[in-house]
Amino acid sequence: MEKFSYKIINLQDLLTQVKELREKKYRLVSISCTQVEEKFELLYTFDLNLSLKHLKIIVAKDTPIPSLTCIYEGAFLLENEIQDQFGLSFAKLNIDYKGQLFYPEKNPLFLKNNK
Amino acid sequence: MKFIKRLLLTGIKKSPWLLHFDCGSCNGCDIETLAVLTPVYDAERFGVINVGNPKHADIFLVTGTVNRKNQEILNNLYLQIPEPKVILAVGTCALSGGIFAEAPNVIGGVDKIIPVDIYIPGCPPKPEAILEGVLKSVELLEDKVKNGKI
Amino acid sequence: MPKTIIPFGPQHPVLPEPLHFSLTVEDEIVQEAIPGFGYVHRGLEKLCEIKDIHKMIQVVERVCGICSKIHALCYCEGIEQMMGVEVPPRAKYLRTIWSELHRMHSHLLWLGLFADSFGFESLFYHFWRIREKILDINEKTAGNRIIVSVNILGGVKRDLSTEDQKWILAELKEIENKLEEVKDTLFKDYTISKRTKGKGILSAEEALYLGAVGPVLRASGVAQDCRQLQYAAFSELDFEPVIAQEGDSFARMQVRYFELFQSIDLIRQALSKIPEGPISVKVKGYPEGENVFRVEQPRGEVFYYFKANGSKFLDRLRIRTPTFANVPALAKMLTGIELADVPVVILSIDPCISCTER
Repeated sequence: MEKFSYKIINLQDLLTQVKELREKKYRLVSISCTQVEEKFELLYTFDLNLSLKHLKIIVAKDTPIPSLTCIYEGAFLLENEIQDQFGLSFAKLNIDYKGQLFYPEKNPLFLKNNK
Repeated sequence: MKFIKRLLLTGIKKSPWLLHFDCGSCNGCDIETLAVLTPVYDAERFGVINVGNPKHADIFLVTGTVNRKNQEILNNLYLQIPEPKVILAVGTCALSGGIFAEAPNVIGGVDKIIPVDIYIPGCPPKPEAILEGVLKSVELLEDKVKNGKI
Repeated sequence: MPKTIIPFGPQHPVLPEPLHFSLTVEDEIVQEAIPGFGYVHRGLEKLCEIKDIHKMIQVVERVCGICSKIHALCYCEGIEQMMGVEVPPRAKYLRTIWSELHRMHSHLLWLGLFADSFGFESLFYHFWRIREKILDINEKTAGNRIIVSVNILGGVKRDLSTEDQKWILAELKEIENKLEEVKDTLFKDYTISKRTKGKGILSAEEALYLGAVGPVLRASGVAQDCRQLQYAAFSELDFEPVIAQEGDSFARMQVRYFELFQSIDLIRQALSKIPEGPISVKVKGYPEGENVFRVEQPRGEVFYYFKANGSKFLDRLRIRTPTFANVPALAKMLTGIELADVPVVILSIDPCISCTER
């Protein structure tokens, strides 16, 4: 198995970089969100013929993140899950559950200070 | 009235119908419950049939933990089953929350929302244990008909 | 014709688990399908903050009861890779054997449920009777029928004796014969072809674009199987991904049916090559840094992301399960089909909601 390594990119470059990957026929595997103190790390994972490519962005809680749904339609579930669990917000989602995909009311349970 | 009661007693004893609801379980208990209904364990020899409509059911079999979204559905299904009914909680999660008791979205066992008559522990319980629980619930149903106001 | 919105689920006779779909229907044809979740969500990824890395194995086994062993395999191999632990070769082979047994039990379970979805009750019972043989093997060798807890960090807990190995081979022979018996029914029966051929078509390009994985992807003609990544003992075993070209429900059934024979073959190869030696090594210390790991489950690729800080608790564990990746593809398949075919097409991706929501 290959070694894990990622590239940190700026929030503004995200969509252009992902578009390039889409043109090279990469498949979107996952978006993993981690809370690091007050900031959030989002790890985007793509796959082409079983080799992985990772992109990482670091955002603050109130920054709206551009949604990937304009490039990969299926990203809406991954992004809605992050909206639910961490209370982040994605701009221009094609199907927006508004933080109620998993919970009956908006309540980001995965934040570190929230039980 | 006496005649209807006698009819109900025979019907319930010979063909207790079962409604199964997965309430947040890991699937382990669900597939064991289904295995009880298939040829090797064959609950159908006791007249037990798995139905999809709560209004046809006598036994309500619940697996898994209760969370904040499914509690309402669980309660709805419970209210839709006509009396007399018996509620069976299958698996450690349905009893107390089990390994997930501390997870953020878990409320706890099934008995926090609806009254439970029979508890079957195990992770997952063996099909023999589930079968025995179902048979026990038939006895309980009989009792409920005999002593009930129907 | 006005549009009607029909709720499908959460409690539905054909689904053993609660899944919800809002189907917008016009003249019996589904125009749009929007999934709804949350009925099985527990938030167990967050348990990694209060349960240590060894106890988390029991938790990840319960992400999904059907593929529990393979979840634990992925978790253990991921952490071992982070810590640089080298697992003994015998343990690698044992992990492979149990994970292939799990794949067989899952596929047989699915073939049964799929037959049930179009009302073929006797075929459903037939497959479940074959499946009981695998559960017997699980119970004899690992002590439990469904949740087979054999993995630990650094190896496995249980060994297979020579008698057990002989018995497994004999049972596999019998299972193979029984599967051959139903082959004609499965592929030539009029009802099955009528209900599954041409229903829920997904092209290869759409499958990749929507992120489909596992048998759904392979039934559209893409030969991608995570076992090719050579985790556990798969580097020393010989196999080719099973594929089909049509991309409909029938093709997905075909892929899973032939994967059963592939698994039987893999177990036989593994049992003939299994080396002697210890089955586990002691693991000292705690992991640090980040890692990802993926393995092939019965339903497709499962993706784990670990972030550790050197203490006995993980910082973050993220699990992207195969059904989660297949749901956007399912929503696509559902558009344009008749309402009566909805249960069959939903079942054709082998939905595991407990995996999806965790």
